[in-house]
This record gives sequence, C-alpha cells and structure tokens, in this order.
Amino acid sequence: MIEDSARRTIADGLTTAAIEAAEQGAWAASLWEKLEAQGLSQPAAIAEGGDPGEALEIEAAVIRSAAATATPLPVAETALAGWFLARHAIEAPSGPLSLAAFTAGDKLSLAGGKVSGKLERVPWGRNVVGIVAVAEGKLILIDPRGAKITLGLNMANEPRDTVEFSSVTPLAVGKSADPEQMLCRCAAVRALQLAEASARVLEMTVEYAGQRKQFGKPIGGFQAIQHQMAAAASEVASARVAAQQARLALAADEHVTFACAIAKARANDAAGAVARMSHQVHGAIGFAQEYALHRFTRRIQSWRGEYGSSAFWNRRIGELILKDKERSVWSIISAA
Amino acid sequence: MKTPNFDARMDRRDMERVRGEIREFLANDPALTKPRADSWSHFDAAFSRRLGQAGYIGMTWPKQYGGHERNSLERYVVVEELLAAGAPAAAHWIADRQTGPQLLRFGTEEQKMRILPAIARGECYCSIGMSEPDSGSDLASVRTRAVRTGDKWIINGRKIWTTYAHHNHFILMLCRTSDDPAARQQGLSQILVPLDTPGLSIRPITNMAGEHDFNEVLFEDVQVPADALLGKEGAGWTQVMSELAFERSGPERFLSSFVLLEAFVDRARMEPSAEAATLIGSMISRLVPLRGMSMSIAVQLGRGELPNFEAALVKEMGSLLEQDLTEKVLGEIVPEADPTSGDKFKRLLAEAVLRAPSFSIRGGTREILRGIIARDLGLR
Repeated sequence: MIEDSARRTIADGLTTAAIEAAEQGAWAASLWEKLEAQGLSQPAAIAEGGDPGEALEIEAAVIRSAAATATPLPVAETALAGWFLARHAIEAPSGPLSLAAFTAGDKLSLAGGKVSGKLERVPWGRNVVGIVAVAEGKLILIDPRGAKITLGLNMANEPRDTVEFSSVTPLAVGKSADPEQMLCRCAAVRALQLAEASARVLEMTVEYAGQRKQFGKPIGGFQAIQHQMAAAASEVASARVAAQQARLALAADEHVTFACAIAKARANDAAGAVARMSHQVHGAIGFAQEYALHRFTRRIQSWRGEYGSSAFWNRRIGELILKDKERSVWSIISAA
Repeated sequence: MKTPNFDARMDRRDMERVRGEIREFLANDPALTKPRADSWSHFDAAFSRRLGQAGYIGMTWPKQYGGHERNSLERYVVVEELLAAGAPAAAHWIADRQTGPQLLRFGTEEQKMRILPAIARGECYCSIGMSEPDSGSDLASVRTRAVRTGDKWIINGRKIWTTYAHHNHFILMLCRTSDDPAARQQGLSQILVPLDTPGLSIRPITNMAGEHDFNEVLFEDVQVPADALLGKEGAGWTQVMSELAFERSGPERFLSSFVLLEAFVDRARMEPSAEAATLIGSMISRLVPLRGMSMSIAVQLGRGELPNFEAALVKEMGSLLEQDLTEKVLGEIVPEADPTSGDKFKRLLAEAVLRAPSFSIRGGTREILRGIIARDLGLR
C-alpha cells in the first residue's frame, strides 16, 4: 500500500529535530530525498494503466499521509504540479515543485518566449526547482532560482513567497490553460489536506480527553466534551466525503468546478470547527508550543484561506446555480 | 476510536434510469400541485396508493412479498425525489422505510405474506410504538407491558408522539414483557398491533403548526394473538436498534426543508445578489457531501450491514442543516412568512419554520445521537 509506505517513510524522517528546524525555515532535505527516492513526490506517475481515478486515489493517499503528519514539505504542491505538467505533456523535473496561488496578485506576461511579472504567495517558492503558473493564457513551468524572491510565511511557517521574474525563459510552455480550472484543482487538494489534518486533530483530542482527568474522571466522560467531539467527528466525516466527491468529479471530468468548490467550502468550515473545538477540549496545553496540536491547527487556519475561502467558494456555487436558470436546484445537485 | 465508513463511489446507472421514471410519475401526479415543506409528514393515502401501484413502495423487497427486487440505491433515488418534489409521502413512509424491513428481517413467513404485499401496494400504513409519556430519549425505560396469557398477549400502557395512528393500520410496539431492573433492555419485545383492536384508544395531539399528525395511544387490556410478536421474545431492544439505521440515515434527515431552498432560488434568480448566492452556496456545500454519506449508507444497508454510527453522523449533520436553512432564510433575508399565502415561498417558509424544531428531536434527539457518536469514538 502506497499509504503505508508513505507513512513509514515520514515517521522515520520526521524527527523532532527536523520539525524544529523546519519551523525555523530549514529545508527538510533528508526526508524529501527519501520521499523522492520512493517515487512519492510524483504519486500519479505510480498509477499504471492511465486510469485518472486511480492516479487521483494514489495521489490522495500520499497527500493524506503528509497532511495527517503535518509534514513540512511541498508534498501536495509537487504532486499537483506534476499532475498539471502531465496533462500538458511536459515531463516533471526531479526535485520539489510548486504552483501559483492563482490569486488576483498573479501578473505574468509572456512575450517572445520570455516571462516577466510577479507571483504572490507561492508555496515553498524559495525551495522549489519549478513553478507551474499561467501566463497569457498558457501553462508554463518556470524555474524560480535566480528570480527575485521576497520571503513570506503562512501561520504554520510554511513558505509563501513572492517571486518576481524579469525576462526569464520558462523551462516549458504548455497548451492553453484556464487559471480558474487550475484553482479548482488546487482547492480540491487543499480540501483533502484540511480534511486529513482535521481527522488527525480529532484523533489527538479524543485520545487526550480519554487520558486527562479532572473531577476524578477522564474529561471525555463529561457530556459537554462528548458532544463537542461528536460534532467534530461529523464535520470530519463530511469533509472527507466532499474531498472524495471532488476526486470522483475530476476523474470523470464532470461537474468539476461544482464539486471542487463544495469540497473546499466544506473542508474550510469543517476544519475551522474541528480546530476550535479541539483547542477548547485540550485546554491550556493545546496552546503550548511543546504540544503538537498547533502544528495541525496552524496549518488548518492557513489552508482555509488558501485557494479560496468558504465565502469565495460558497458565492461561486450560488452563482453557478443562479445562472443555470433552466434547471432546478435539485436537478443540478442530483446530476452532480 | 472507530472511523466511519463512507465511500462515495457507486454504480449510478440503475439510479439514473429510475430517476427519470419517478420524475415522470411525479410530474403527472395531482398531489404535486401543492408541494409541501417537510412533505414526509403530510398524509395522502390516495397518493401513496398510486405510488404503490406504480411499484415505488417496498422496492428492494423480494417479489414473493410484493416487492420489486430493485437495489437500495434505486430506492434511495425514489425517496429523495419524493422529498425534493415536496410529495405528501407520510402515509406509507414509516411502513416502507422501517416497519417493512423490520418484518423482512424478523417476521414469520405468515406475517410477511400477510402484511408486506399490502404495504408495497400502498394500502397498509404503520406507526412506530417507541416513545411513552415518561420514556423519550431513555427508550429502555418503557413501561407499556405485554403479558402472555394462553395464546394471547394482553397489553396495557400508553404510547405517545405516534404519527398518524389515527389513519394507520398497525403500530409496531416496544413493550416490556419481563421485569428485571438489572437488565432492563433484556425484558423488551416487539409486538405488531392492529390499530383498530378493541381497548386501544387514540387521542390527538396538535403540533405547533396547528396540524394533527401526532397522537397518544392508550392500551387498556388490548388483546392480540400470540403470533403478533415480531421476532423473539426479549429481543425487542436489539431489534429496535437494528431499525435505527434505516430510520436515521435517509435523505429525509436533510431534505425536509429542501423545497424552501428551491423556492428561495427561484426568487433569487429574479433578483440575484451576492448575499443570496452565498447563502445558497453555503447550504449546497453542506448538502452535497451529506447526500453522498446518506447514499453510501443506503449501499451498506442493502448489503445487510447496520451502519448505526454512520447513520447517527448523517442525522446529526442533517438536522443542523435543515434547521439552519430555515434560520438563515428567515434571519438574513427577512421575508414575511405566511402559512396561508398564495406565494409559494412565503407559505413554504412558514411551513418549514413551524416544523423545524422537530427536526433535531424526531428519530432520536441531537443529544442522544451525539452520545452514540461519542461512544463509537471511544469516549463512553
């Protein structure tokens, strides 16, 4: 199983020292090399037979392993970039890859085979060997090394850098590409990461509530705690299903925007609720640097905003429905 | 800690064929001229008979019992289409959803042959006999007693919140058949009682919407033959628990107020706004995953599994969604709800708001469901 081997590799390589170093901005080189050596950096390439559904499931298994362990590496970004490149018949270079954030801040021109302009909030921009972006309506792969990089972070201390290119020849230029569609695909992956980070947070919290004793019994014995955890469990379950629905839509290439929008909106809200309830149940220790909960909840709070907030996607879903005047809401939902 | 099993992958070919058929049926049925919010609480025996004749009740049951041997997703499609259209489906709802499957699981051949074909024809309707005046969430505390005397059961006690007992044919009772305070769950049995049995009296309870669907049913030396027992004597608790996944996981746990959303969208299409779009999206992004979860449970039920944990998760999320829809539409859009209005949106809003408090009570309160989920998480 891909997931088992990814989990084992991460468990071996993700030492306390590696986690602390990554928090301080170091690149977790040894873990990355192990993942890459096993082919886990390009999981879709592991799929045989070219079934897009199978490729997406293998990719999901690897991303799930990284999200459930708060692995401080661009595992999801590299997989996603590779997936886009494959669709444009561009061979993915070895090494970590990233993609544009597909926000209004992206301003790239492509003239005479040279790219100029700026990408904002690029995940791991300082660490990667290639960035997938859209310039003048075409997919490009471009090397950020040598570009002007302004460092930035998200709340989990994951790099989110501004990368400025001045007349740079891209590594490859693909076919025409729609940044909207690419945003959807990225949103579906963030949704999966949010769902899996939430699942891990729930697991940690249930375990903690079973061990922490107050008033002479484990706090998990109190209904006030039980009911919060039950509500959190339902949020996790629905976020996971929404992420799976997005993968199925992508595999079938049907209702993609609708399904990805739903997955991200649902995961954003679910993960936010799970993070809030889990911190409440943990009490003060969950707020302490020494305890691991925040490694997940800081990622959750960061990822909720990346590739579209709930308000953004909910409005998009609503607009799709309002525009589709020939069909009832029910016929839209039941067909999806 | 248990992880719930939800798999959204499914073979949809049969489903979509049935969807076309049931849509055509509903488009031509006179009962659909006035769609209702919480439509599975609206009783229309003529509609249920037409539905039964068309083959849409008891769909998954064996043909020898009047069923149609369709798969559980085909049934799922029919159920969700009834709800989405606002069809008055209360008459056959309980019999089709849980009393019938319960008979199939635990009934004798004679019971199955006698009752199931009538249910499938849309002619025989059933009530749930669980709650009592002093036993709501604490179901194992039921006190209605059935005493075996010769070849009869003699029943004394009362049941409450008995939906449409005044129209239905049978009530599937959970009764105490032996006393052992230390093992109160073991002394329970299920007995199927015809609602016209002498000694049984039915008192109406009007709900806050001004409608009469609830009743209190009083049993005074009600006599039924020994073979009215369903399943094993003393196994009532286990049997009832197996009923609950059917009761809690279906699309009626999140689509009760769906017609209101449809009417809201109709209005918003005439005057689109960012606020309306966001509200619609916020409902759809919760509804679609929930539907996937509910369909996944339907597949598991069809395989004979009892996904009670998963069903509790669906009901927990579903009732919140149903209630939030009325709350958001009422709270953020500020229209005037009017139960008598000729304006469909205003009428449906009133119907949904006036029924919404029941969504997180019927079929197991939110608190009971959260307790079940917490148990499967390993917290109790």
